[in-house]
Amino acid sequence: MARATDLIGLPVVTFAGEDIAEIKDVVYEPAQGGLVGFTLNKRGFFAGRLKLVLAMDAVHALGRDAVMVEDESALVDTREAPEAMTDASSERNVIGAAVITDGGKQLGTVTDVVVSLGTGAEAVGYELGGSAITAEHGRRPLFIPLPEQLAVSGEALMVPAEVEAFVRDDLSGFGAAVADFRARLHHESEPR
Amino acid sequence: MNALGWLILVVVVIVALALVFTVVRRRSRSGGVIATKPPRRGRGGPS
Repeated sequence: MARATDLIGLPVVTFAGEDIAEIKDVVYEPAQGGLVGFTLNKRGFFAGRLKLVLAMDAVHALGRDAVMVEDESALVDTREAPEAMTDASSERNVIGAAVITDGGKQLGTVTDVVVSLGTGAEAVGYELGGSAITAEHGRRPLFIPLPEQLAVSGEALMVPAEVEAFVRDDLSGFGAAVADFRARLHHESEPR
Repeated sequence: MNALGWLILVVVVIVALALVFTVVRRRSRSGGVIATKPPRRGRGGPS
């Protein structure tokens, strides 16, 4: 598990050891939770934005210190990238967005998105801050798990009300909370 | 204004421009976590 913002600035490295780009934006698909890919910056402090993107399919491994790709051909022009990548706009940055349960309760605002690393990387939770719930926990950031299928309604980040029972204040035990939460949703959706 | 005055003015202008350039560059490089648009509902589908 890692915070999505920790991926920002990571180098994109080829198998030949070349450092070819740097992660700018992490693009994910909220309905399914999967990471779609990354927009890129050129390497170097004063270098600007790269007009190429890295789709998740072309990523060999997503690690804590680098994003590994086979070679430079992994970076593609935005016109050749998946449609979801070409639509990526900083106006749809979820950091700072409000999270509301389907019961109508505002849980807080997103301070980060928790992603699972390795193959099949996906967004598995939100880190929240600035709400009555975080105030109850000494204003520490809280983590809420996301279901595998998330209803997306317009601009709102909606989560099931059941998520409140799985709120954690520590990322180390968060993987188990995600698994428990998803198991409970599966159990509830099974016909009796 | 004497030569020292002009020199200080030039240095201040150069420092100010460098600061503005750095801030603009850092802002353009800063990233985020972007959610893709929800798929549009198809039109003319079966009702």
